[in-house]
Amino acid sequence: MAFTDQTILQRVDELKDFAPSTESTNAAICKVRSVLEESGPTSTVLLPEPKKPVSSTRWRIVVGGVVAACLILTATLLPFGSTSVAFAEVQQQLNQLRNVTYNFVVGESSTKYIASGTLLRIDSEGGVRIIRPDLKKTLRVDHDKRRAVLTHDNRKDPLPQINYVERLRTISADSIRELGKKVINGDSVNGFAVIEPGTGGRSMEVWVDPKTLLPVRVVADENRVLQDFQYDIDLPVDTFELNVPDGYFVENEYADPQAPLRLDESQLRQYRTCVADPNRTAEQTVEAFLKLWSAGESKLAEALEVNPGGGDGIRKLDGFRDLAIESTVVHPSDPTRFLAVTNAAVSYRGQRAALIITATRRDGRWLVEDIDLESGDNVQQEIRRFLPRSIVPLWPKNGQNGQLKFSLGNEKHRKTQRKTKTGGDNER
Amino acid sequence: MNQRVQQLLAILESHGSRIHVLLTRLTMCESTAEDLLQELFLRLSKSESFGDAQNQTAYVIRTATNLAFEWRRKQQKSVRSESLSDDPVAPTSSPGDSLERCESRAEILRALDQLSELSRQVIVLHRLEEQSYESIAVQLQKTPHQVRAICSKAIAHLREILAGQTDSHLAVPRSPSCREGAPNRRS
Repeated sequence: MAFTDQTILQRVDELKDFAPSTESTNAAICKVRSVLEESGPTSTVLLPEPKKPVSSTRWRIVVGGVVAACLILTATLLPFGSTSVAFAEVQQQLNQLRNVTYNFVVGESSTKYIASGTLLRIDSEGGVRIIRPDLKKTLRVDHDKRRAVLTHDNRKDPLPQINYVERLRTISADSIRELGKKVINGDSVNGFAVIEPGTGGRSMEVWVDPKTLLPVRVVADENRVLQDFQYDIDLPVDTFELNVPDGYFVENEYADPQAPLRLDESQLRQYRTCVADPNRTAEQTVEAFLKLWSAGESKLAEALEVNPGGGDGIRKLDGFRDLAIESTVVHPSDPTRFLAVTNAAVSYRGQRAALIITATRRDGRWLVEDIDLESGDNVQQEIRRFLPRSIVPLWPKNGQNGQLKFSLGNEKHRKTQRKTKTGGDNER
Repeated sequence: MNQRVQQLLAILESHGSRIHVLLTRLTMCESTAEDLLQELFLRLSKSESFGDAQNQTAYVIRTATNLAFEWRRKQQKSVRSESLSDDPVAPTSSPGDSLERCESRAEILRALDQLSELSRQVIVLHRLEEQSYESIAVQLQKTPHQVRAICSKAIAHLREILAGQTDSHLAVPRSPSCREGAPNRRS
């Protein structure tokens, strides 16, 4: 049979019709997270967990920031739900807390967790991770590499809360079983086996001080323990701030690289108004064009173009969400022509690249005429091409963030520039 | 908890769902995708090259793709005739239609498996992950033009493979005439 390129691509694209359920994906991720969090400093103990058919109920235990692959308990052996009242009191206490800190100890390695509501900070050797579900952002700082990755969670359905102390507060009564009493550090404590239903079925021991009704130790298994709990301590004000130390390279990462830029209602209204406004400025036109294409609002964006569809490729660029107009210039001898340069936020051929957008005034309103992607010196060449020969732009000095600024001089200015050409930093 | 685990957890949080979706599409099986997701992160936790990777997310996606096709190869070895009831994701329409769709998908996956690793990666990244040539070029350390060329050649190769598969299904000797003229058994 004859296959055309199109039919082949269609058949490849049909694979995308397969979509696992969100529950299935979340369960898979929880499972991996559990194994990773248990792995500790060495991975020699890690082995792929074989798939086990479970006849009736599968339990997964989730406690205090770390889930352990420990015991799989069947409902027949352990009657859950009979003495959950005491744990409800623990949950009440947890609900009143401002913050919790504890150490997660795996063998001889210890990681410090700080949780406040849904916010979580994990300090480990050589780095820190700050998770801000409220901002839909996660910052990972690697002190060894002097590098930070800021992940923007731009998915429609973000993953469930990974702050397990927070989740512990909402464990249902039938997932809890009393373990009795024992002595820890000379104090008598009450134990509970805690299970988070619906996540695969694992169990963990939570040992609670009967005086404070707060956990003092959580035991995943004999090698993995959450301990040194502290409650409501004074934390530095910037504990959960997404701050990167000076001099660190910061990389933005998006959980869904193809998801459109999200515009809030006011931004969308602003750009809609701009599209409808015949008196919009050139800069407003270009900015609205850029943002509307980035947000996938193609119909609105096309209304701002001389040839509709020119900005279709913007969303395919790596880093398009960070594009912003950095410099603009109106043609000095033709005020109906306008050029804007964005920051070098996108990747092109392995280099950082900027968009050069030209606009023109037609029938009394500004429209985007052309859009180019250029990197390095090509950006300056494109700007030179736009300007008349008599104009010499001033380029930024090295190290000035690469921001382009224009000084549109007259003939006299040009001569001055020429004079300084041999020694001036500003000119290339 | 060491830095590697922290890195992997961060990637899992940010891209875990995307990788699981990709694995599901490449294996046509949710539970296998779940196992492979775990296998993937276990491998990464032990991998020396992961730590050195410039773009760790891209590295993970590539490894996931390789893992899925590795699994497919093992399946094909152990089960000569691939069963359509291999725990596929729930069909959405009539049983006949879903079987046909499953078969069609399995066929394209088998064809993808016959491509070189690079070509397969490009097709997967471009078509399934919907990434731009520019983005793929950065990940594979090629130029967008090279990526476009690889993609084009891969499609041509897929065309040959699929034509061959169809011919073998029809038990007709492979020849230019039958490749062009053979009826589409799915139509």
